[in-house]
Amino acid sequence: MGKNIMLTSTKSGAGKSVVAIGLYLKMKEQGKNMGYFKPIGDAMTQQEKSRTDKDVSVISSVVARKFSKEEICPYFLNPEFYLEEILPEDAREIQQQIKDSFSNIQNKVDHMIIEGNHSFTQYAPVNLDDVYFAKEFNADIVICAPIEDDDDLNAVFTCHQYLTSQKLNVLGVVLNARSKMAEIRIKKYHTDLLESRDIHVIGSLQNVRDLEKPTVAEVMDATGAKLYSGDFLKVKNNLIGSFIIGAMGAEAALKILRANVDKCVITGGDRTDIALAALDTSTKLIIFTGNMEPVPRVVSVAQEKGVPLLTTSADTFTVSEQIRRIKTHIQPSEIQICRDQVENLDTEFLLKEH
Amino acid sequence: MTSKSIILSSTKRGSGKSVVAIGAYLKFKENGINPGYFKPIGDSSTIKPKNLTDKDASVISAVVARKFSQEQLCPLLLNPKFFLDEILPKESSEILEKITDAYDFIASRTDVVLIEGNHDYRQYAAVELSDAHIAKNFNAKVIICAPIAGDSDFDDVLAAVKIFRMQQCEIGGVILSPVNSTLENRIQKYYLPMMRNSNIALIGGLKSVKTLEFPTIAEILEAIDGKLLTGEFVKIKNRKIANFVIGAMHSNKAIEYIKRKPNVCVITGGDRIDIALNALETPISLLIFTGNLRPETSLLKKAEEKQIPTILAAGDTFSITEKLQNIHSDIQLDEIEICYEQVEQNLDWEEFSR
Repeated sequence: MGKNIMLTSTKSGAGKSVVAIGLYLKMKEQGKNMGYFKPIGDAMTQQEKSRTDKDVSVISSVVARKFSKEEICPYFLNPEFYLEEILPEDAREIQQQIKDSFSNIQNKVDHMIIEGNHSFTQYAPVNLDDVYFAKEFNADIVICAPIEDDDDLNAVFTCHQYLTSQKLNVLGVVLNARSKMAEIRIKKYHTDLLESRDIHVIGSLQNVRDLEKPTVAEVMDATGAKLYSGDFLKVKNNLIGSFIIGAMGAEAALKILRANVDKCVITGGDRTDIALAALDTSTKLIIFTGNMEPVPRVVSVAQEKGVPLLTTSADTFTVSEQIRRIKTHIQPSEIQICRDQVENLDTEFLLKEH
Repeated sequence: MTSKSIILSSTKRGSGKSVVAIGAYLKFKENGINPGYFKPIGDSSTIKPKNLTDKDASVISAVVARKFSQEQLCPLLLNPKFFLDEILPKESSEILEKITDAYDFIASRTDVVLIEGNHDYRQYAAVELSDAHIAKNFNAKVIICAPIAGDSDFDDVLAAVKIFRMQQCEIGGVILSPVNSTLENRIQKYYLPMMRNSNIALIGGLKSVKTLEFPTIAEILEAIDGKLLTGEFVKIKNRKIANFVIGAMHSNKAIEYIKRKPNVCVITGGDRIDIALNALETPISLLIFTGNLRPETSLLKKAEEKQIPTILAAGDTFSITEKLQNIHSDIQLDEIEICYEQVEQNLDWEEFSR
């Protein structure tokens, strides 16, 4: 019989999509007919053109033309303001709509990978949470958890307790090590501690840092900065490696500018010296703050080097705050990384009968 | 007579737990009830070398005066990020005994004990010292404090209630603190009816008090590991900073910007004498030089003349702003009255103290 696996997470940044895409590809290589389903998409990341959310948009390119985006992800909610869209008493209709979409895909495949909400608590007040769907779909659960330090392990235990007390079958946990230090702590403490309390560690994702680099398009999205020069279609998927604020004098700036590759430089529109120095080093993007346009010379050098320029009315402090809140999504070019990552997981175990 | 106890638990940091604890303490006292305060596990990463106790516990001990020592109020300190280095899960029952001894000492000398929980309800679940474990052990009524910025925060409130009830803890109610008036409306319109359905009492909500969130110069110095170049620490340490401005733009524009905001801290490179000199002509409260670029002596002389404190920091501007944005400001001694008002004006005291 086919298996349904639901990926649920302790909080966002858990690497659910990485696991979903990687697992999908690996199983397919083994000759299995795989299906993917996401009960509820995030209306906030819904893109006008593709009419679906960012995660689904990428996975649908993996699933190819087998199913439409509407079939894969039939419903959308805004995580912060969903209660005006749906009251608990309306939930039944939506539940049914989602269940119908699920069966439609399930009937045509061997195994289903179901990507849960942003966290295991999301949408529980209206019965559209991971717990509800896991029960309805008769799915086994894999907890995905980002690990930066020991504190993130607390969430794993809490989540596990929450799910098992609701009679769900939890297969285990996939830990997403967010740093080298996290990898060390997972090996030294976390794995043993989890196993000692009968929580199986299926594996851990490593060095997914590259996947967390934002694209130029994501930076524009997060800051609301406008493209002043550059070809959007050509630059939108360029990855930003680091961010530098050009607040210092040009001489001191040069040292820092040289030390950082693929960077985004944030500076005032009147800092021609910083902009020109940046364009002389490895720079992927320049943001001019304070509603000031760069001088023509900066624009022409930027065009020559293919570096897009953005302008924004916000001040530098605000922009740096917005940048720190960027949630990155997997890019189509990063699908192979996802496939490689699941080599760190005990995928045999996932498809066994439990 | 053994006293009754209330544990304040939160869904995430910044919930105003300490505000409630201090305010409720004063309120009990006013009503002729002899209150006690207890914080089972302090945060060792916030220890100030001088008092050797958690910051929260240190402010409250000023309120509690000399009734109990700081060690009695907060018997255990752990580092939230690396607690597995300090205690083995096996030892948790021993630790709970130690905490219980300390608790008993206070409980036997007071009528009611206000227990301030961990940073959030999940914390230390990995070593079975979460708020739920503590609440159960002391038979304490749980009051959940939750900052509300959107529906997903409410999802978390219901999940927290479920998790406490799962462990047979009594829920005394929740304090939902809306971040703005839109959310106040959502509480009445959506959350309250759902809470009634789940038999959860709403005790009230704290009003956002901006000044409580502003960091002091001492907190800034600590967060960025800065060196005070001018200004006398004892005199300026408690001054509050309301706005941060990065002096990245050219002098004139920057000055215009600075003049518009009160209690401003300007951040700039140590080599931007132009910006610094102009900034010193405006009524700013603090000047931070980044990149370990020590400004020339004449500039520091001017800062001294104008009595504007200046700080030298080693990191680049982007990482310094990150540290500033992550400061969790603590309650200052002169803010105790605000805590009392918050409890007096915004909480249903009968429900709280029932």
